[in-house]
Amino acid sequence: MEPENHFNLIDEPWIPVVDVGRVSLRQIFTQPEYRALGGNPVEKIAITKLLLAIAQSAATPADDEAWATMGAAGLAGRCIEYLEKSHHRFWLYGERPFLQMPALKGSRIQPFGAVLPEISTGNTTVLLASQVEKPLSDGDRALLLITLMGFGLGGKKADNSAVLSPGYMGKTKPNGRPTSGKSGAWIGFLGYLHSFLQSESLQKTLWLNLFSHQQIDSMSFYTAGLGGALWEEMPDGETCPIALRMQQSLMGRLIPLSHFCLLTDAGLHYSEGIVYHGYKEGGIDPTVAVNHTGAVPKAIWVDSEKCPWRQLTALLSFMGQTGNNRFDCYQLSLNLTRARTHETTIGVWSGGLKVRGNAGEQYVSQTDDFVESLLLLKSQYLGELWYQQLAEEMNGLEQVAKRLYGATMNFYKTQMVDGASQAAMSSSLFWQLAERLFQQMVDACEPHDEASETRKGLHQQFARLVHQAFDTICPRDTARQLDAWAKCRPNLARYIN
Amino acid sequence: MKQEQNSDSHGRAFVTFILTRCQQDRGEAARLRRADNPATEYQSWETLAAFHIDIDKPWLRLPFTTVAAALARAKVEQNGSSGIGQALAGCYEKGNDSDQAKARLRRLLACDSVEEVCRILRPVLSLIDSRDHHSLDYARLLDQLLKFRWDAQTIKARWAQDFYRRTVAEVQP
Repeated sequence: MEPENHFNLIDEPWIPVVDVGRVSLRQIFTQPEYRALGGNPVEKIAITKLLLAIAQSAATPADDEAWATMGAAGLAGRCIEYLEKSHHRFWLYGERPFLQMPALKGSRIQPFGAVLPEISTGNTTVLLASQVEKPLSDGDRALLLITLMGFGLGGKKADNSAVLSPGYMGKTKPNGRPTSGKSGAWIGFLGYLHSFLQSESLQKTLWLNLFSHQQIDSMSFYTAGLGGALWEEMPDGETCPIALRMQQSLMGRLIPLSHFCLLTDAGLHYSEGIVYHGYKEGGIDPTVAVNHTGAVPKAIWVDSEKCPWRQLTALLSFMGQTGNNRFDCYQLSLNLTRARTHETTIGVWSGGLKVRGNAGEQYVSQTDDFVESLLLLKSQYLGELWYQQLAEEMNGLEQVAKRLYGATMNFYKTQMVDGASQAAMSSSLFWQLAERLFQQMVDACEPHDEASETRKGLHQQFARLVHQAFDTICPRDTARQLDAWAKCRPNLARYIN
Repeated sequence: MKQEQNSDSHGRAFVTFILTRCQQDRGEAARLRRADNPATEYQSWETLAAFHIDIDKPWLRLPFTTVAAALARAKVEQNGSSGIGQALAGCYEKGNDSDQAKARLRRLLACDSVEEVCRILRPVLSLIDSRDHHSLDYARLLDQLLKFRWDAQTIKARWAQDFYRRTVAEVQP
């Protein structure tokens, strides 16, 4: 019996939007008042990429001029037209389920919790009620499916005995047994940090992040150029001509299909999909920042100890001519200069999921977590001067944080105790406290006269935070503690003056 | 004249008051020198009473007698500027690196009550009097002792910081 088409992503609500709740694809492009996407950082990245894929298929402008003429409203209109035309391709269930592989039928079924990083399955200890698997609605399943396209973790959860391209050996070991699944293209080894531009409305955000044909051509590593949308033509297997084309196109990076899935009532069929080159082999995601200047390319990974705002100088390093430390994030570098002339304030959103791996199995444990941050930049002042000032301030902050680490270490050493963990705690506490002031610091780097006064004031506030963190982690109840506390308290006279 | 209620000026006023009295009357100066000995303390009560101090409250009386005795003994002409921690460190050649100085500071920091801190301060003050080249800020010390009853931790932290204080010039390479 042919399955019935139901749950169309264009009509049914499934996309989380802040202040609104779940909305459908049609609403996204018809309601300009939506501010931003909701959900966890991973879902935000996945949906943004899907929406960008729709936007690129509907209306990729030829160049910056065409992009500016089209505007956010024009783009939304074109997307709606496109969606209406492709309505039949967006069924979540049916004979041609959206981004799924019906050929997987017969392979192992995994419960949905097995592919959600925050859910405990198998013999993992359950500590919180939030780690228990809950039944998923169709909307949740659609969201999960989009997320799994690139954020599927590597490991044995994927049933690699299901090989769709005849003769493909990438999922079989020399001894004939199936391999563990590789990690998705958006997550990599430890979890990439993805960055986008953000504006005050969701439609404008999509417009700002849209690449023109000219820009795509300048990214010469996409040999197949823009490429075609997956929902128009799904690959048959891991190495079919469509899959090979996807590996070399921008569309393939927007929706990578790193895992093949098929949703069922009981769970999902799940197997490794198209394998993309990592950043070391030249596979570049436009939202990931990679430094190609050294002998070995370096990517910026998510670090749950180090919130993304601390990476801002690295993410924006294309602004300063800083030689060997230049990271390139094409999503930001190509679009930021273009956006400057149209927007007064541009947001830079960064986020991702930190994971760790062992023998090919990836998981979220210990301090691993989602991270995200949003910083607003005034386009009027953006430029090399501003960037250098910011880099200098960031450097100063790193120095005082180091001083704090050393001071805490000394405090415990004076009392013949190992203080490594407390030192790490105090330094991380300082960074947490400093986060609230960082946007002010970003604003104070603008090259005008009042800014230097503001910076001086901020230095004092940051110094106070250093002392606050030190006082919190280093107790001063007994005479000996009080003695050590006074002896080791960081002296920040140089930073303040 | 309106009496100043500010405790900061209280210490300063008392120091000026004692310095004047000591210069005017050598007999009174001699009596004040005995103020920190419980057996002879009563001889200074007249002076304290003249400054309107409730001598039946030990937590009020003892800070005044301790500072008055130290002032009378040191024969200083005016109030100095260094805190007790700094003055203590200044008594030793190695400054705040000296183990003896640290031991004395730590004993001071271990005090819990005004009575105890005044008892422990007595030999410290005579030490400072005999060795220190800095001049001690008696007024500030008195103010701190008066506040010690309800804010001991802050006062002690200040003493400790004062002991280890490095000037900006020392920090810069």
